[in-house]
Amino acid sequence: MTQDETLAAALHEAAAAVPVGTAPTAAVMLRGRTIRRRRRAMRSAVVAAAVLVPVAGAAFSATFDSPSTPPAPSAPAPAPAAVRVVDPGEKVPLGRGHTMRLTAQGLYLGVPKATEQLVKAAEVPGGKISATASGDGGGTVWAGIYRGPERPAGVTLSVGGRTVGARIVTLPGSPGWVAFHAYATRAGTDGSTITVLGADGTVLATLAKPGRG
Amino acid sequence: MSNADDSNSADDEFHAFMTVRWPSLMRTAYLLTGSHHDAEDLAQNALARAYSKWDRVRHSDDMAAYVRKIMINVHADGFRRRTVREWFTSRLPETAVADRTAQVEHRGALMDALARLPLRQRSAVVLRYFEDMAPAQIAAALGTRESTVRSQIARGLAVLRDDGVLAALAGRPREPRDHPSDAVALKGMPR
Repeated sequence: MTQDETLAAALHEAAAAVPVGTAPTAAVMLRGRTIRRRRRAMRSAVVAAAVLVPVAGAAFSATFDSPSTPPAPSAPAPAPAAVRVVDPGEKVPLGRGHTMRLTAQGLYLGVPKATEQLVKAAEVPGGKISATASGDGGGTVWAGIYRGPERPAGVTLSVGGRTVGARIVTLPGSPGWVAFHAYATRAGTDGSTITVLGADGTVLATLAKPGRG
Repeated sequence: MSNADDSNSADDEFHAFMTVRWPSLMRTAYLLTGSHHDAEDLAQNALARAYSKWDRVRHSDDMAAYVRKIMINVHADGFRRRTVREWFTSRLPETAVADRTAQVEHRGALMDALARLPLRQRSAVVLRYFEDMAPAQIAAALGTRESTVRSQIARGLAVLRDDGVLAALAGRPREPRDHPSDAVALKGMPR
């Protein structure tokens, strides 16, 4: 079998392993009708759009400048933020429509137009970090978990030559892990490093993703 | 025929089309996204867009190809303009092993390796080797040049080779990584 045939067979095997349920035709047709209605509405509102552009721009800026993540220009590592204690299930806004909530299971990241993503605390090895990034061309929301015996004093995110301080969020008591979140105005995750710092500045853990090329 | 009859007929036609094409679109979407949830969302989104302009789709020469192209574009748009989710972990990724019986591990290694490819390389590799599309067809679907597609496929294969995935799939020991990635042969690719 040639390399091409091997790869093709492996892809078919991987695809065949995907469970495929009944085609959700009703939901898709409903979604399609909504798209059609929006398209027609867009066509009929071409003139009005010129007036609305400045308003839309303002709304975008309000979303872009996340209240929970102040912009960090080319400053070095900022001072670590205080640890915020939240109740289980309490939603924490992260900006750009993202939210975070913590339960005993771990961190649930709410992503616009998608179901919540769970970072399971139990699956993070002791003294290590697991993180997720979600964003678009305008910026990236970062969230993750550090699990360890010591409650960290700070978490920093370095990406694209900039370092920003992440907010630390935890559940009451001593769950044995903390969550963190940060916002970077840079799109993409290549060349990023997350660092967890102890009270004396000791690096407790790092997680790095090398840049491409 | 009244407008209502025509509309019902179009809906019936779409219903039948989607029922038949759903498994295939889901599988392609899975290889493009690497996640069952994202695949379902992508396939549904593409089909909803197809339904929103069904009159145009149903009169095209190849409805399946038309919808597949919509899906590829929706996928590309998703990475350009919408939400990109990425997961990192301190755990080491599972590596491929040269064990023919470890099909599940091979699948995991293949999907992990695909996840490391940039979007266009991944799309090109999936369309070439899963959908069996010629580079010219892929170029038309992706809206790029055929030479670009050939380069993307070659680079994607180089990454899979460097990761040891291709060797593992073939049941051979992992090859050393001291060869340049760009020096990949286009074996078996139609020119």
